[in-house]
Amino acid sequence: MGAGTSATQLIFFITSVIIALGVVGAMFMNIESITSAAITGSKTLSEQLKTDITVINDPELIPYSNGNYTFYIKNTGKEELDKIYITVIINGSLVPDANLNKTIISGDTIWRTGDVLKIDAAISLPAGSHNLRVITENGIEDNFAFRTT
Amino acid sequence: MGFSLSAVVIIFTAALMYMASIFYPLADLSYHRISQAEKDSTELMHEKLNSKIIITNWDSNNITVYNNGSITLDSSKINLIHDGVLESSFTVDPQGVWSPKTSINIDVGAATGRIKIIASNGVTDYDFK
Repeated sequence: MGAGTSATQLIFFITSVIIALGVVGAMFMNIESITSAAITGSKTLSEQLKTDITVINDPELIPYSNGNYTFYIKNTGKEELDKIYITVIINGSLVPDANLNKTIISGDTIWRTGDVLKIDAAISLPAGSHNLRVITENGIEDNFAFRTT
Repeated sequence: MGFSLSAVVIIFTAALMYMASIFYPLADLSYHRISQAEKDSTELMHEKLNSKIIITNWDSNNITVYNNGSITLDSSKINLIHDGVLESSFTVDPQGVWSPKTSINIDVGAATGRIKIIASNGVTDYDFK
């Protein structure tokens, strides 16, 4: 009876510890993924809050030469951006990267606060009103209505 | 049975304390990062809403721009678009601090055309001659 009780208690003890460790392990994995998601989410949200861009063209006079329309976009936020990930949509249609030539006026490779990004877009537009949307890597955008003659 | 329960309670308590010690500093970091970004965003909006520039005169090659807002701007960070093209060869006097209710002079190198002046935070004004 004594040996039987001890064996039972030992089995109960080992089982309890194994179950407790399993539960703790599962909880730890959840906490770890929640923490990691919170860090990534806060970084993205913080970047979005600090990002602002403004299309500074004159809507009446968009420079056009050699089949390219030129647009000027100023970084008016507090976040450094990468010109590679800038998306351009004109009249609701995405302009492929192959048709865009992006140059930072100051000559930098990173688009810093206050710098102007020059985008030459090889597209054909009929005379009239059009709409340009420029979207940054973190989803912040600026809309610009312009006229071509 | 009592010993098993104690062991489980000890494991849970230690694990919860360890998890809290990992979670809290990172949650605090995230909170502060977002708070700072919200502050920056509000500041950007405040600066933009309180900025206004006006082209008051265009005489020969020289244009005068008045800071009619309540935010101090930086005259060396303005951009100029003349007839649709971004100009880089223009001079500004005085350079640097551009206080509210003061004017700056810009030598645009042209006496006619359509001019757009853009301040560092994106506020603009147009003139046509």
